[in-house]
Amino acid sequence: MKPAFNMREALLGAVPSLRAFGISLTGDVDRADDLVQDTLLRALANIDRFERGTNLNAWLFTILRNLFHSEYRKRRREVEDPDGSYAARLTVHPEQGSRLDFEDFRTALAKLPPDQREALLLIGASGFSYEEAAQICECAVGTIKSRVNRARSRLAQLLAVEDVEDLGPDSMTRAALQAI
Amino acid sequence: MQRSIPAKIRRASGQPAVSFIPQTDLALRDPSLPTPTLDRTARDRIGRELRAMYVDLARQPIPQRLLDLLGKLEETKG
Repeated sequence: MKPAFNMREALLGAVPSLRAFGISLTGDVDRADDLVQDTLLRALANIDRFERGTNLNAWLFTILRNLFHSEYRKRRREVEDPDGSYAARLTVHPEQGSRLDFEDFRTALAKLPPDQREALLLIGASGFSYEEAAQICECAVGTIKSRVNRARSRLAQLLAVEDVEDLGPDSMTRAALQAI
Repeated sequence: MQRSIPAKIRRASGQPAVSFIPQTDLALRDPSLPTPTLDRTARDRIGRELRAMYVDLARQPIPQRLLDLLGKLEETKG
């Protein structure tokens, strides 16, 4: 008999999205893979608690997000790093053209508070509804909406500034644009 | 699984460079441009860039250690 639901395949199918979320959240591929690995281990250990037919992705994202936050809190206690090393890591590769990759965007994303970053990622990229995101983040739907809005506004500000800097040597133009 | 995607994050090919200059600024430089609401324009650009970045990340090959972990699962488990 073929199983009606193959958990291994289901988990494997969720990994790319979990990794994308983890990398975007932490800015660090290795750390993200640690988070994904711990998420899978925890999911397997608690597989009996997963209700078949409910949203496996949302369940996995909830686990990963909880792991990220407990680790984040732990790191904050252990190392005084109020700005986080996230932004510093993301500003590497200055030799690469900023228009050829996502460095600008990832650097700006890194400057958002984690709660805004995760809300934007869940809604804007991972494809969750506001209700699902609220469940994952254990907060109200209105809180998610507000975090997403603040994240978008802040990103627009950050990226507009970077674009102005990209305009080149015409300092008059640059000054004029910055004055607006 | 795709193995050919380099680890470096690249802009999805064929997409024009996305400008984040607020529409009001663009309008100053090129008066012929339409002027939709600033928020909507910025929001759309951020949405596109975010999704493109995410898709690129999701296309990266899954590390072997994660494949090994899942490989240990019995086919019928769950």
